[in-house]
Amino acid sequence: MNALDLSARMKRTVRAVAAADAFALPMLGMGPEQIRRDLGDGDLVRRLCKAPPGAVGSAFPPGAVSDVFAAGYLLLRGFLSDGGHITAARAGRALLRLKTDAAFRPYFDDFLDPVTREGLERLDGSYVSTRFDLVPCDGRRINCSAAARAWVAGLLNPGDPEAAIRDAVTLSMPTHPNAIAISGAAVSAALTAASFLPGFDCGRLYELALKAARDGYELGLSAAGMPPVGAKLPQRIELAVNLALRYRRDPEKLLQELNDVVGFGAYASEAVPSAVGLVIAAGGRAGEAVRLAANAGNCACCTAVIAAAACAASSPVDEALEEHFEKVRAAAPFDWEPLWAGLTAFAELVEGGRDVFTL
Amino acid sequence: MTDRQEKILGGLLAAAIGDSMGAVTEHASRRKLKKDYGWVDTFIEPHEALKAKGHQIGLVTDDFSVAYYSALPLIEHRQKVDRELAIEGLLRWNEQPLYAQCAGPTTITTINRLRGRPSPPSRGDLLLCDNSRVTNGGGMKSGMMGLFNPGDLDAAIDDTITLCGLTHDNTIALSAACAIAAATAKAFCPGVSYLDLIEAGIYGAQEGYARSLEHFRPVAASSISKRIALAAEIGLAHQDDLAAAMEEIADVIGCGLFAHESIPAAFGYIAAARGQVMDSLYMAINAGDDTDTVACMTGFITGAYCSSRDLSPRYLALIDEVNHFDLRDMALQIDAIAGNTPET
Amino acid sequence: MHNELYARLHGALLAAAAGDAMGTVSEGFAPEFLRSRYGGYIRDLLEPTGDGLTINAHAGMVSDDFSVAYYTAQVLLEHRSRITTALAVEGLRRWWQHPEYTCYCGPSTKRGILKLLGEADDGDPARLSPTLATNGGGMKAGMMGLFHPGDPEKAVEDAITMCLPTHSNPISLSAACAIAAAAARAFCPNTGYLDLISAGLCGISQGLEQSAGRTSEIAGSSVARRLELAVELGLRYQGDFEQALFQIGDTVGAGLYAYEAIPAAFGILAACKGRLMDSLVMAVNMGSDADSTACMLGYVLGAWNGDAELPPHFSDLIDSQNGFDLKAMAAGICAVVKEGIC
Repeated sequence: MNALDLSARMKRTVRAVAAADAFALPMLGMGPEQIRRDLGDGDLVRRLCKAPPGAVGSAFPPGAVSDVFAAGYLLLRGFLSDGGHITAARAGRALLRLKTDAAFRPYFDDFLDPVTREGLERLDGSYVSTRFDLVPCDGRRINCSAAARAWVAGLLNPGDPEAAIRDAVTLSMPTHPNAIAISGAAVSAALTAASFLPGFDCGRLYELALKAARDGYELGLSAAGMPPVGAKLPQRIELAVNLALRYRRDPEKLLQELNDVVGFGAYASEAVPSAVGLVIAAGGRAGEAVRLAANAGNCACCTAVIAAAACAASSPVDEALEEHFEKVRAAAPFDWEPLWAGLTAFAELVEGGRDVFTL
Repeated sequence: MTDRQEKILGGLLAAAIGDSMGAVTEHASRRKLKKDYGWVDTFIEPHEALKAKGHQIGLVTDDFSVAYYSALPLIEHRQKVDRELAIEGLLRWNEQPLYAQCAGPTTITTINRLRGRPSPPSRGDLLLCDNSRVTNGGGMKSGMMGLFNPGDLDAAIDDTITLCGLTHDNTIALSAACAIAAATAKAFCPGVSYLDLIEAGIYGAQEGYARSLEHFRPVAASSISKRIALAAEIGLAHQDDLAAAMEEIADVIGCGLFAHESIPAAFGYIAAARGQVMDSLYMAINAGDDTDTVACMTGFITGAYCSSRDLSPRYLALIDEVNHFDLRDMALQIDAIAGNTPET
Repeated sequence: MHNELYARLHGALLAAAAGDAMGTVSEGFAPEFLRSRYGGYIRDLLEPTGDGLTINAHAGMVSDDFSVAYYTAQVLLEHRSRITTALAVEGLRRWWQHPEYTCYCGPSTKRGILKLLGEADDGDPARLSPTLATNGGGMKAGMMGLFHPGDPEKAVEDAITMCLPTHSNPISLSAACAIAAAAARAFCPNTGYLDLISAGLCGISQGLEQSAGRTSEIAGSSVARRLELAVELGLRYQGDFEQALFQIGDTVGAGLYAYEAIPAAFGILAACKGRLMDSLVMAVNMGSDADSTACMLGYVLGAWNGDAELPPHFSDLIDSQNGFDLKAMAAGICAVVKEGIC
């Protein structure tokens, strides 16, 4: 893959991720049946819409993104400023901008999950220790927000899932020093990286998701130094994939079953395996995967972003996603040109310096 | 050869290999096979009883041969299957002395009827649901319909009902046959994965059942689509240990004559073997019971998925010679008749 | 009959309290960590270490799980009445006077109580936040099974009344009904452990049906489907205690969401074929929200097995450390049941 093609695919992934976040935002916190009834008129929602009153996303206009993309954007810009190298320190500094930078502060105020929030407080020294910090096992930091940002690690290791997993660990540690959270981040990063490989089909995707979940967990155990408390990813990934095979052609049943058994909630053991199941049900097509994820509701932004990043580079350009992105571009205060320029430069660097496209 | 032609040849050759390799292990139990052979992964010398019946290394049995002879009239008339051609193919097959003695029970009944010497009415004929006829004899030839409809699952399903409905005129045998055909057809789609093959099998089973409800006999048996999903679940969970996968599938799903065993088992092997053709055949061959049929059906699917490039040319030469086939030519002929492969 | 009913009631109360107390030592820990810290499985009432989620001072003290139900039951016995919304609230108010337990209360209960006591609630009740789908309903609803021994349907009705003030969402409620129904069923003759499981599932569907229109819709997994999954795992690993423990904990989870802890409880029940001590030990050593899971199992299996299996020193230790009189409570429930008051 030459630099031009690589940078085009990388930009497509970023646009898909932003579009996914925006598309899913109105559905945050709702269940699939509720979404179908109240937003979809008995069917899947396919257009950018407005959240119903009382819903989490109701205060935001169509096209607004959540902290999921905002954080990913800050991380990506931060790493690109240094040739795409990922370090924990740079990750921490980038995420802190959610709190300190006036343009990004609304994401901190309106959306940010408690785990990342606490992580930022630790980073800027404002965290007040509680007795829960004495517990030598960690059941608090098992949510999916690290996984929802880990696509950045995948993007910056295109075609190299092993390196993406290692970088996902680094990226997660400042806020999620927890093997279950890191396991989820590893899955997202690995799939994103692998989506740049030719011949990366759904079978390989399933196998890689399992491997990344296990490897990420082991690496996370060593990095975090204490065992996590909670359900784990590999068994849930198997459940999700088997449900995807059974109900691929019945989206209503698929979403209900995934919701009921695996879950679309904030735990890494819910959102990440369900995202994998949806990508497989969508046959690796990003537009469809995002549509399914958004219509799943609950932690929809995380699920949709993970799903989009896992297959946007290998999917053909999706018209609906590109349309949603144009609304994002109009609504949100991100600097797109420097970002595209950074990705172009990075792609040239990769083509010159790394031989990653072997399968 | 083009990509598509190589895939068609792959389907034909792998099905034939599965049938002929599996012929030697047929009817044996897993334990006996393990004791006698360890793990069968090559053509082995047939035992005395088989030799006495005229079997030799590389010879296919009823499974592949009936599919082969079903294809000949289509090739000669340069068209897809219809009822007349289905009958012609079946009767021509029955004229071959090599295979005449190994027709399955359901097939024999139909042949006798077509030849004007119907068997005396059995209790089965009087039953509303003759559940003894829910066998895999449809599935063993329906993979051929997948090859004739590369990438077009719905056409493969319709052709299967036409071809197999002749001998296996009940909803669940046809459901199973359509699963194999649909998965084989799916193997030709661009960018397809082995998970897609399994899902296509589930779709084929559901559609085959639904489309055969109106004109074919009802029977009582398990759901083919749900058992395919169950077998695939087992296979996926044991990808790192094919022998263990085989044991579990054989124990839970079964691999015998009945459609609700052998067709789901095939998909279980495909899931465990990640769609790899020879691995999937070995699992079927070593599982015992109706090994040649299961291996034949598996071979149509994974052979088309992997193409002839993953199969040994020595095996092609052996099969052609012993059976007087020309599989390469057949593949080219099928390719000429098949329409354009759909985009998705 | 009276003796048997009393023995089962006392068994349920003692086992629920014991499960809670044993579990406060392991709550919030990972199972592999517990194994290495304790060199094996926790099987007794131990002194909590200083680094857990609990800050109970002594072995044998229960936490919020059992205490909420205890004080609610006390109110019902004093009023000699079936539960009503007002009595449920009074039970909570009485419990709120005990800081040794209220310090543990879960997020949903705290939110609900502050609202009920007229203090400001900073959360908008109309917000569709899934974090309310916790197991705080399930942990007290087992008591309603004891007030309706052998009558799962009435137990479900009362579970709904008891839990609506603090857990007005279908997920928490359905989980509570599962425990109440199974506990009630445990008193029926000719009940096997699979019957307890199917009673739980019936309780869920009945609970959902009865509470429709009185709850706010919420996003989250299905208690019933997760329960089926947990039971499948439990049945598969009946011959291997350790595998069952890890598989249920890893696949289903045993955390504070109602679609984890309650399913896990039934999975444990299946794995242990309803044996009381084995089930409590598995729940306690699964860590995570161990005290809730074990407490809920205690109601069901204490009723099913009676009080004979529990270690003899448990009764006095639990009573003395908590200021309870479980024997008197069992006798009290026995009396109101016999009189047909409830």
